Amino acid sequence: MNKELETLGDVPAQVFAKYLEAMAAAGASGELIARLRKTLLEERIFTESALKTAVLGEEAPR
Amino acid sequence: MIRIDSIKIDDFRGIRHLKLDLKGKNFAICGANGTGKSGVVDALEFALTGNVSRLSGEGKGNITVKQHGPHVDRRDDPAKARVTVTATISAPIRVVTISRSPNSPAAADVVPGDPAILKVLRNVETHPEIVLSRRELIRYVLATPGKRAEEVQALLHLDQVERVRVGLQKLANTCEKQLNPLNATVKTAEDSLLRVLGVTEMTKTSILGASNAHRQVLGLPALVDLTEATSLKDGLATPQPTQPQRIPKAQALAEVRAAREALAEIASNAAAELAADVATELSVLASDPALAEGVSRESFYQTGMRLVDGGACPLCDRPWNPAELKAHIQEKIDQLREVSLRREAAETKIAPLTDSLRKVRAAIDSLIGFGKLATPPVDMQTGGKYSASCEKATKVLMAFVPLSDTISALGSISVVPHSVLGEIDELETVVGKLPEPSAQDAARDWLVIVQERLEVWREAKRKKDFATEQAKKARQASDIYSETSDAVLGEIYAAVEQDFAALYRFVNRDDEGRFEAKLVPSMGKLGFDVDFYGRGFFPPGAYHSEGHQDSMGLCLYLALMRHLQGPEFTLAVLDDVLMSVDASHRREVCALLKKEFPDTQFVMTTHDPIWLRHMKTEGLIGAQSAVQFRTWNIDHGPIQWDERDVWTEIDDYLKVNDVRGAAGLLRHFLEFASAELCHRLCAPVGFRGDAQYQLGELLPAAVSRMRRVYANARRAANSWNQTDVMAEIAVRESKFAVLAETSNTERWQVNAAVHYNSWDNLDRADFSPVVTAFQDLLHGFTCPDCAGYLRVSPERETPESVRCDCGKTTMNLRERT
Repeated sequence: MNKELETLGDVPAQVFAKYLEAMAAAGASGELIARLRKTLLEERIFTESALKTAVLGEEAPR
Repeated sequence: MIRIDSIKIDDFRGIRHLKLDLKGKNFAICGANGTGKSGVVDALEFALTGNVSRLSGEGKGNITVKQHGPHVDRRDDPAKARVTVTATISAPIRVVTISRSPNSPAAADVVPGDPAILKVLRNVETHPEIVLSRRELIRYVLATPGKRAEEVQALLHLDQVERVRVGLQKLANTCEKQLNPLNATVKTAEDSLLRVLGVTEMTKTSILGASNAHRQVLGLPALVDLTEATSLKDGLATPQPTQPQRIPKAQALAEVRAAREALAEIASNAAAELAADVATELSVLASDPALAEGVSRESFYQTGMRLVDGGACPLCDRPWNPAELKAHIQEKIDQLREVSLRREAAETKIAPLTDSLRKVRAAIDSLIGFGKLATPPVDMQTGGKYSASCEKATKVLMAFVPLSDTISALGSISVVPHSVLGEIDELETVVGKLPEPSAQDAARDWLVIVQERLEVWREAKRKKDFATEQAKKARQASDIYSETSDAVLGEIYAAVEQDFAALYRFVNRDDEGRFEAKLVPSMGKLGFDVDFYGRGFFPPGAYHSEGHQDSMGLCLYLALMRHLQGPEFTLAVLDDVLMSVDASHRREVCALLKKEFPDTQFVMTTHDPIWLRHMKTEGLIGAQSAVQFRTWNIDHGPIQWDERDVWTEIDDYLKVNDVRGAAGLLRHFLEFASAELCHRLCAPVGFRGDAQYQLGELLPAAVSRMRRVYANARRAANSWNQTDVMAEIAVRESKFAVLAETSNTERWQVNAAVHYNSWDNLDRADFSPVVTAFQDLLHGFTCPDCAGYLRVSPERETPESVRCDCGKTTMNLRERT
């Protein structure tokens, strides 16, 4: 199954992919985008703590 | 993605044993209400997803697939219940068998179970929307905008998108909330540092200037720059650990002066007048019950606004839509605009008072520390209590409500207990008696304490800067996400809107060829307005008929599915979704499905046999791609109109001499079979507006038509000089005439048995010949090879031939001209 077919029918994946593109265009760091990609598109974990770590990094204050 | 070849259902829901061969093609299941159609839909959904939508969701209480999926007689032995589907998946093209028992709904037996196939099936599992009932379909059309948004979001799997949106918003809000106390801490540390520096502004020049003056006294080199790492006491000898900590006299006295100034400020006439002024304004608010209530409500809404950042109520965990709820709360806040403005004005006036209280607390807390170092210690117990009361007053003033508490705090804010001033005097006396330190000691003390406070300020600022950066990052992530997701979803809705309107126009092109629609997402809602004959845009339920609404629901569903799955939209199960659509538009629906979705297998149920015929005549389903359930009972489940079963069942009645039962079933079947024969042979029947044709109207018409067809076929064969064919047809014609005659002579007994309650006079011996006569007659309408009923072709024009579905019986009806 090619990449296009994999995201076809997966609207969230389409939104997340566009989001990463927009973040990159806004100057977000490579590390931040890599963390967001891992959380949103690879692991697909959407808990608040996962999003916090993805956005703020491991040093995020508790 | 997947197409269904067959389904085998055992002891599942209301079905005992049933096997349907769909052959990967469109398929229809027809039957009256309660005959088990939806049981097949449930079984199909269960096999593919492990769930049955009808058994889950709101209002279903304790109903579960595991407990209530098995047939009621198998509820204690759910492992016996099983649904097995044979399907063809598209990528890679493979035939796969999926078998699932409600005993363990999540565990499907898949053969072959290689990873590529399992991946496709996992994808199917995540798309339960392939099954659509009218109940669900109408929700897309008639729901409120908020509810419709939920339904469409569920169909498009947008819950993940919304979870991320809510999560990022909450993170940004939380990060921003953390900034207020950090800012206050920095301000306090800055004030404390400025006091000991003896300057009014935190600039590099002022700090270096003051520090280098003290360093010069100690013979230390001047600092040329002030960086994050600079120590103002760089080069100063570290004191011995055993050396007792001394009170830095000059700094302690400076703190005493600062405390007195802070207390003087809070106790000043200006502060007292300001506090009294605000208290008066608040008293006016408090004295008007409506305004007071408004203040309380406005405060409640403001608090709510701050707290609405999760996906559910923090009290009862009931899910909510944050955007929708926030818009709702903002509307209420806007209604309390006057109250809101008065509150903002009062809070602006209160701000300098809370700032004064903060200075008082910081200064007194500093003196308490010096008091402990004194010999003997100066107990500043009252000062400590006053500092605590200042902290409490600050919180009350910042909370604003209850108004009575705020007014009370304002009333006492300028009152400084005399005992506090007494304790400060005592500390000042003790400190004043300390020997004057040498210039070097004073400079050393100064550098130590300035460095300490500089480090406190640096740490506070570092934390604030870090939190500010985090808040900025979180807000940017949240804002960009909102913009991006809105844009992506906006594009999807725009595309779906266009496709929906095009599909609807196709179905209703006779009178709504210019139909347009608006699908407008806004603040968690999804508005849906449709054009009504060029008179404007209105909600679908405003002027359109139920039939139009049904077709709108189907078109919207199809548009959403086409966008969602694209070429992977290969299966849809439509459970009685077009019950309100009239006959002409059903034909258009058939045409639409054939034209626009040629690669999608539709499995459809209907209670209406005429709708079933529409599907067949319009070519949406093949002649063999349907099943008709005639009845249902708890022991057998749905019972199909299968001739072999019918004659056996009638025979079973007769074995126990139940002529009443046998006659009823015979008549019921003859009605079904006659209608089917009239349809297949295009037999002329007197038109009935209610389509409720009787056996006495249908069967003679079918017999007469068959005779004419045989006669025409014989004449046609003769015209073509096909002697053998003509002879063969003549034999069939002759046999059929005998069968018709035989049944005709017996028909009165069937009528009598069913309509005239005279079965008491009949027994098995009387009725058996009747049954045999009609069984033989119906066989006269069939192909000897496939036993299927013959049909004339074409259906809507002058018949040119008569044939069976297997193609082995074909008789030409066109004579040579």
